[in-house]
Formats: sequence, C-alpha cells, structure tokens
Amino acid sequence: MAKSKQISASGSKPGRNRVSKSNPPAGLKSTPVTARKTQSPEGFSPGTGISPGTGISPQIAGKSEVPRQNTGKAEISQAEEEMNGNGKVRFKSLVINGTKYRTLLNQKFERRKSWQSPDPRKISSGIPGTVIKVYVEEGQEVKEGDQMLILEAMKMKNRIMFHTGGTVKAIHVKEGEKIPKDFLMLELG
Amino acid sequence: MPLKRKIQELQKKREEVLKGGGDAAIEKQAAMGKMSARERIIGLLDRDTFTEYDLFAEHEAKDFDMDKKVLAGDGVVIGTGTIYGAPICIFAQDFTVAGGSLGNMHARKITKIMDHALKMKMPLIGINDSGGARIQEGVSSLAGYGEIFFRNTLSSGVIPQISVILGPCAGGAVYSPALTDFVFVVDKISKMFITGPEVIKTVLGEEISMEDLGGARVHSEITGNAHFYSNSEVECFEQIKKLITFIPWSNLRKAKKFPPKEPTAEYHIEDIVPGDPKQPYDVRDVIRAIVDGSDFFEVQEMWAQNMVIGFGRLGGETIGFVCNQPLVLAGVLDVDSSDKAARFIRYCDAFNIPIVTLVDLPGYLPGVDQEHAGVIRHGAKVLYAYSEATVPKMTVILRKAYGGGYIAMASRHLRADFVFAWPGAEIAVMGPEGAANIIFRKEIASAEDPEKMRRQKVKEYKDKFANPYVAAAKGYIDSVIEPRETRKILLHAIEVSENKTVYLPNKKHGIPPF
Repeated sequence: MAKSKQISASGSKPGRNRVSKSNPPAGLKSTPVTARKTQSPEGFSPGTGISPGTGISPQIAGKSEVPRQNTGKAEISQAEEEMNGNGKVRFKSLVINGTKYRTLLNQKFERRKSWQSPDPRKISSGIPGTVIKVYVEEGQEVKEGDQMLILEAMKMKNRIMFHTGGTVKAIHVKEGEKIPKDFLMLELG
Repeated sequence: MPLKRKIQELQKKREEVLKGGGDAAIEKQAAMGKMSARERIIGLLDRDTFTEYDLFAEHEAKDFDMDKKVLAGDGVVIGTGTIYGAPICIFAQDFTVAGGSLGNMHARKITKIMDHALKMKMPLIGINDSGGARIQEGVSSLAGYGEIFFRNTLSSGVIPQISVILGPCAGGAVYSPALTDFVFVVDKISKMFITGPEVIKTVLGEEISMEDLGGARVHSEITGNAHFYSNSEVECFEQIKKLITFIPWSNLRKAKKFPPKEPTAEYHIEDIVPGDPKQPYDVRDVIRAIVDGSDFFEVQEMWAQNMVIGFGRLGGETIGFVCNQPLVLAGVLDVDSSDKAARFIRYCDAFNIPIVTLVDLPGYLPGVDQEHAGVIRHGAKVLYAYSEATVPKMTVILRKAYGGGYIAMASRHLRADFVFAWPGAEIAVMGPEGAANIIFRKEIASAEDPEKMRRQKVKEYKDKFANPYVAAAKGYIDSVIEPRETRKILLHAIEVSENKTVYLPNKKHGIPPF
C-alpha cells in the first residue's frame, strides 16, 4: 500500500485532504515552478524516437529504455528519474495511439497481469476449494462429458467434467487437497 | 412523589445510560485509539447543539438469555444537531455496548433518525462502529439492515448522506455506506469487508490481515469505496465539517454562498500547463489558480488519480470540478476514472451544483485488462452522466482532447452550456503522430526516407488540425480564451446560467450502465 508517494510530483501530499480553509500545505508553494521544470526535457520533442506501429524505440536520447510489459497498445518503459520539488520522481512513458506521454503510473496499472490466451488442454480450478474425489488416472482416455473430479467449494460439491476429449497427460491434485483458484488441476495430452 | 424527586430520578436514569457499555469497555475503546459514540458526535457537531433521542430504548429480544441483559440505548446513539449552522441528523453506533451489534431496536433507532432526515430535508451522518448483526436476534437484525438500505436508497439524491467508518463495518453492514454519497475512513481504525480474514482463511486457505483486506488505505486507493482518508478521528471530523460547507442541505436548495475571494497569487495560471501535449503537470494547480482562495477540496484523492474530482468555489458558489489529470496515466479515461467521474457528476446534478470540466486527455486507456474489465460499460457512464445532467455545465479544454475522450468530457454534443478552449487546445480524433501514421501510411511507406516523411506529415497534420480553431469554426467551442481569462469567463458563465431550465422527456427513470 505504500506506493502513493509517486504522486508527490505535484508537491502536494497524497492521502489526506487539506482541511485548512485557505492555506495550502507548504509543499504546494513550489508547484508553479515545478510545472515549469518539467517542460521540454531532452529527447521528448515530437516524433523523436517513435517508430510507427511499435511505439517506443529502445534508444531515446542516449538512455536505454527497456519496454517492460506489452498489453494492447499501451506501452510503458522505464523512464528517467529527475529531481522535482521535494525529491526524486520517476516519470514513465505511456504510449497511446502512437504518441508517447510522460506521466506517472498508478499501482493498479503497474500490477495488471498481461494477457495470456488460455490453453484448452490445461484445466484449472475456477473456484478455490477441496478436491474430494478424482475419477480418472494418468494415461486414461476420456471423452467430453466424462466426470473428472469433485471440487468442494462454498459448501457445494461441484462435479467437474471434461469439456473436451483426449488422454489424461498429468494430474496435479490429490484427493483431500485444498487448492486455490486458477490452480492447474489436470492436463490433457 | 414531588416533581423535584421525579427530575432527580430522570437525571439518574440518564446517567446510567450515558455510561454506555461501562468504564471497562470505554477504556478498551480508548486503548484502540477510538472515541466513544457520544464523544464522536460532540466532536463533530457545533458546541451544545446535540439533542439525543431514544436514550431509554430497550431491546425486546428473549432468546439466548437476552431478556436478562440490559443494553444501554441498544448500542446506538441518535439525534440532531448542527454543523456550522447546517441542521444535521446523526447516528453513531456504540461499540462499547454489545460490540455495537445491530438488533431490532438498534435498527429502529437508526431508521427513525433516517426518516426524520428525509422528512425534514436534513443531511444524514452515520457513524459506523459495529461487530455486525446481533446473532441472538436472528432474522430481526437482518430485517433491520434491510430497512436501513431501503431508506438509504429512498434518500439518495434527496438529502446528502455521509457515512463515517470508525471501526469494523463487516458483512451486510457495508452496504449502507456503499449506498450513501460519501464514505470517510480513518487509517488503522476503519475496516470494511464482506467476508473477514477468518472466513477467507478457512474457506480459501488465503491468509490476509484485516488491514490489507479492507483497511482505510485499501478502500481509498484500490477499491474506491471510500471518498475521504485521514489519519485520525479528529482530522476526519474536520473533513466532514468542510464537506458540509460545500453541499446543500437537500436537493431543494443550493449550497450556501460564501463571500467571493480571489485565488492566491502563488498560482500563475499561464505557467502551469506545458505547451507540449506530451508533458505532464498537476491539473489541481490549474483548479487552484481558478477557484476562490485557491481552496480546492478533493474527493477520492487516492483512487483513479488520472481523474481529479472535488469541490471549489467560484464567486462564492460551490462548483463541482471534473478534470483529467495528465500527471497520472497521462490523464486517460479508464474503468476506474470513468466510474469516479460519472458518480460525482450525478452527485453534483442531484444537488444543484454546477459542473466545471477541465479537459486534457489522450483518450481511453488501451489494454486487454481494460477491455475485459468492461471499459465500454464503465466509459459509457461518463457519457450518460454528462448528458443527463441539467445543472450548468462549463467546459474548458486546456490542451488535448482526442477521440472518444473529447466527446465524453462534457463536450458541446452532450449539451455543455459553455465550451471554452485555451489557444493550445488540440481537438482531433487522435494525436498528430497516430493520425499521420494512418492518413499518410502509403506516402510514408513509399518514401525514400520514411522517417523524414513521417515527421513532415506529422507536422502538416499538426499545423492544420492541432488547434482549437477548427472546432471553433464549427461552433463546437464558444470561445478561445487566454488562460488568465478563465476565472473571469467562468464567473460570467455561472452568473448568466442562474435560471437554466431544461426540458427532458418524461420517464420513470433512465437505465444507466451501472
């Protein structure tokens, strides 16, 4: 929960509303200056370093930038640290429709999971619970609709069936085992 | 018995009940850094204005030896008072009495004061500090919660409803705050969740502390359930009092007007926004450069920070501000920021508070997580809220306004009453880089030096479209203004929209994309 300090780029403290009627907190006094400081750093003039389609080139103004995550068209890169008012602020880049914006990222955005397309041969738990019974063995041939196992969750004994046929390649759960959500239970060959 | 004796008897009875759960329980409460229910009410209301009702209420439960137990006031304090002269209905759950658990009489006391607030058109403040339903009373306590939720819903948009979480608020109890307008939380004291850490551990095998599951920070930063965060109860009360000065007593009134005040000299409006649309700045500085006394009271300061919402005054009148924040996530619209803005717009509309929208956004946040989280449905809320709002709507485009974001942020097309733009405004389907890449794809690809051609085409596009004059020529912008003229023109806009009247089609209610 500690990350909100990112926002102190503005010079104002996050996390609490000022209740003083007319006196903004001390840090704010420097803000107009701060705003000027953040203008035109090197290497961010329009068009520089942006190649069509990809968004970010690896080299920008002599600083190597490593694209970290890639979800859709929003791309972020590690960006420069700079002194700003009351300490170090880490601005990053965010590319939207081919334009690269200098900005801060929030916790939720940085923690988001990148998309992976699901593999129908790998069967994971849709709900956390306890495996009560396993009906199949490794190497067994199964067809769609066959019973796979019983997963007890939320006081219900859920019958899990095969949604597709094949050979059971591996079983990763034992009877009596407690498993979390999205736990890989079984693989088809 | 002479009257004097009877008065003494009354005084004695009062003293008994005012002890709450007894000295030991009060000490325990204090050890947790918490005030008692009555201390809280007195701390919040104007001096000597609290008048308590149902002091002698007693529960009627019989099972599980409950008939042998006396619970002072049945664990809740209700009454009326004032805050800066504004009439207030208030209830405060008393954790020292049976853990503030909610039984039938407890709920009846709360609904009594809620009914009073709705009838008298007074703001309602609820202080929540309760272990939950009183299990001994069974379905009666569930009925009590239901009655409270029903009244929260009926009162919604009629009287301001404020929830203050000063202790645990778990299970079904959380839905009363969730139905109210503003939720206040205090670090280390507030705890809100549907199922607690114990249940999560036994059912799911996941271990988490109460603080990490539903503490004040979680609800202020991650879930967006809370609107105001503070470090102590005293600070929390100051925030509530300040909020009360900004909002009207009910939807039949306007917020109280204050003497107008110039913004302080430290904010130079022309120096805040960088010319390059890719550079960040703090939009709150622009607000402070515009509003009376540079006093901006931000709502949901820690959640969805790419959108800034809150109250300020212009010429003494309360204004709701809805602004993109280029400092965080470049000020994009996404699931959370759409939700945040839409709800606030509806709040302002319900309570006759004019809305000023400051626009500077690159559009919607791209990403699989956003699409799958329903950015279509959530983004639509902003369109709905702005279109539906009939309070005066003033829009200032500070810099960029691209694509769907331009439409959504109180554009002329959603019936903004006034749309102004600063000279650096860029109104287009997308930024020049993206637009040039699409429009001139062939020219760029077939050029000898594609990079050079691309830069040239970006410049061409920029020169032609990256300005406010194309939109101004079509009448979508009423006026292109200098930044320093912003306050003056907004004051004027408010002045001339005093009698705004809008006729909407008759309907029972709309169906917003909840």
